[in-house]
Amino acid sequence: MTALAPTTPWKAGAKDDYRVCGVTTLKVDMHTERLIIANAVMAVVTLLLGGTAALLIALTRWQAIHLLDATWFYRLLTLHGIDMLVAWIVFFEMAGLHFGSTVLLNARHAAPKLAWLGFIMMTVGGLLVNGVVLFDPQSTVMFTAYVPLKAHPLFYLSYILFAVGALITVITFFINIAVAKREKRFEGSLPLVVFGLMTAAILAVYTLLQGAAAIVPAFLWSLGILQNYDPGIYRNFFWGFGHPAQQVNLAAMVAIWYALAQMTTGIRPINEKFSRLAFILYLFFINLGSAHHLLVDPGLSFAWKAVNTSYAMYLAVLGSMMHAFSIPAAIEVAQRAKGHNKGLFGWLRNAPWGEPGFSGLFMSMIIFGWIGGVTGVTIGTEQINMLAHNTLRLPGHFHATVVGGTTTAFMAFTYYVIPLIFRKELKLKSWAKWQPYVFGGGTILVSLGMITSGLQGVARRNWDITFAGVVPGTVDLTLAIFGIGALIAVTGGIMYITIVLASILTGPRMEAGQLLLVGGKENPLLESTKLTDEQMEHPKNQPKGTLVLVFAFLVWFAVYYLSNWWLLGRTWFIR
Amino acid sequence: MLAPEKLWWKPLGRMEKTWLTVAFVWCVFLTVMMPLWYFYGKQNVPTETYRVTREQFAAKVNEFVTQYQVGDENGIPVVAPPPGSDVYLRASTWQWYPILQLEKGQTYRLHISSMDLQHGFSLQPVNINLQVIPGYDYVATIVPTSAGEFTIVCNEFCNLGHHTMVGKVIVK
Amino acid sequence: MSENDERENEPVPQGQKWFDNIWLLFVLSLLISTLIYNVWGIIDLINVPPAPY
Repeated sequence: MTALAPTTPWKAGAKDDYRVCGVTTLKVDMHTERLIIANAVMAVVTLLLGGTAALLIALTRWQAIHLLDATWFYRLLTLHGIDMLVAWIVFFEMAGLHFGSTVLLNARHAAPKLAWLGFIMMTVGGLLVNGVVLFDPQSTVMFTAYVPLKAHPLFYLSYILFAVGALITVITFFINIAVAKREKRFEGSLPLVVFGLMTAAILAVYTLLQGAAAIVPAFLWSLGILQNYDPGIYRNFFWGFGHPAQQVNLAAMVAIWYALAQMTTGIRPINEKFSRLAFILYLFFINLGSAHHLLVDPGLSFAWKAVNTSYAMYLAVLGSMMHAFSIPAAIEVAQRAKGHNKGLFGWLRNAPWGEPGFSGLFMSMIIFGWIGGVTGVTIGTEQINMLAHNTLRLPGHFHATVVGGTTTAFMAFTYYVIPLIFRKELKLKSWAKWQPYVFGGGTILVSLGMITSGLQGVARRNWDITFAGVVPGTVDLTLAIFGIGALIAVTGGIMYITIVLASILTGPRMEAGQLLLVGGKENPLLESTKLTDEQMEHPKNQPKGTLVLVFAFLVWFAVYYLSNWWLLGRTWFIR
Repeated sequence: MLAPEKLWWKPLGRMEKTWLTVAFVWCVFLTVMMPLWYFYGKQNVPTETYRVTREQFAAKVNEFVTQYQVGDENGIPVVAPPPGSDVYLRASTWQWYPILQLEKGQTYRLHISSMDLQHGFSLQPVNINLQVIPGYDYVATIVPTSAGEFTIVCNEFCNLGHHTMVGKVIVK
Repeated sequence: MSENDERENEPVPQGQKWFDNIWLLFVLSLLISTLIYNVWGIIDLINVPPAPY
């Protein structure tokens, strides 16, 4: 049976300061608490910046409104990419790493000074890059800053500051785990959620080293020290950073999925080996997916493209499909063990739909898998990529993964961080109840609008596609769907930021009294430890409904994937 | 979130095994599709590439235009190369040069390179997209299978006039 | 519970030990990505021949 981490206090030195959480019985190092708060605040600040840009650029691409002029459109698109794809999520993940490497291991933060150094570098880098992009006309180079498009040297310097800061923070994660192990704060294996966060941390090390390999020479080149910088080499390293950065999200998000499932429905993983193997498949193979951006590049062989784009043999996809089974299956077993045993989907009907942690988890998983995953694998197919490269299908895919998937899950998780870590009462609970649906629903429309526009050939990163004169009339409709979706998603984003700010800026500090926000007094986290092996293995409690769901998913996957081969077969011959 | 039991290395259940097997078979299918299409499909990503300097490629484009020019449209030459020949297309901010006039059902070796920044070759509405990188001559062997006027849109951001970078291919 | 108590005294299976070995996973993860994606990719780029004209 799963046991709680022991709660005996560690021998506190002069600065070893901690509290015991009344709800989860976990120990919280005060250094960790402050670091989590600082990182979470910066995450929300950069989300606000990137979100404002999101609204304005979406209203520009919505052809009927076409709000901004070209200069501001490209400038804010650059800002939006950096703040959303890097700053917001990395700050949030750093908070997650501090949490996972101390609180969940019952351990102290072993390197708080280093962690603060990392945080300060990230903050300076993150704010500086916003300033450079806003005030220097030369630095409108998009998030990708493809050489030989040259930005101001400060642009590259702020990337480097941010990346080194993040790398330092990731190193503190490993220091914490090593120290906790040595001090015997935990015995045996890491908890599954920490294992998932460790996956994210290892992927992050590769990511940040690649970022340095791409950006440091670009910095020297912008200063004139380096004369030539081969754009092909830059693309190799840049995407070794740009794509894996999103795989860090993926691993962190899946870890948070397990956490949310346990906190809201009291799951026990159905099989630790199965879930951990899925994370290890990420570790070994997912970074090969960096090649997705280079599939129609000159100079690279078919073999390189095929092996890398398929993560050796779609082994990282296999990992995701394993999680896609094991998380709902664990929820189903836990729900059935509670007596929600009617039919195939009685367990799902009786799920806590009003609890933001559960609805956020649900929206995140559906959008990530059914839209983001399926479209990603399809356009990441070597040949099919020719139909999709740099069209709106690309952002259509990654708005489903990064926004609908990662961001929705992170937002939902924040609602629990506020009472448990900020120790403030969560305000506007009725908003929090609806927020995952509003935000997720809007993101679905954004994604579908972008994907259907891209299928008609509409380019991404393009201020006004009508110049090309080839746009069919239906594009007006699909771009309008994208625009309306963006308005709804931004509404969800404003709800989130309002809830967070209202909670942390008003009201007294108070200890949390319960885990669930709207679902009642029970504590699923502690209840999950009472699930016995007999209950887990009881024939009545088996996840039959989940098996039906994943097979339905596979059918949809096959239909979408094969119809794209059919589309490819209709275009010009090319070799 | 909490510590697992000490020994969690246990055999997979029946349902996990079923799903793992099915998912793995699907992954193998996804993998096999790419080499299958590579050998039997008509639409494959070009791989032929040469290293080239801007001057070299620009000279080649000029030679090509002088040789096969048949007209002029707003100052940009219209060029009609014979079937089977090498065709040169130059990308620069913010222009595709020259306008190509091809014949339906014939094969051409289309060379594309950039004079300055990275660009995106996006042929519409047939929707073929390739990355164009300075220093690399990317050779696509193409057969237009439909006739009409086609547009080349630049779909890689190349500074503020990016959206005005539009070229043309005529297929007769 | 008695079944669990028995299991407590069993040695940790080799598979579990590998899964628990953070540093092994760390090294393999970076090595696989660097070799297959970066090194092979850059070799491809370096081997692009000069234009024959």
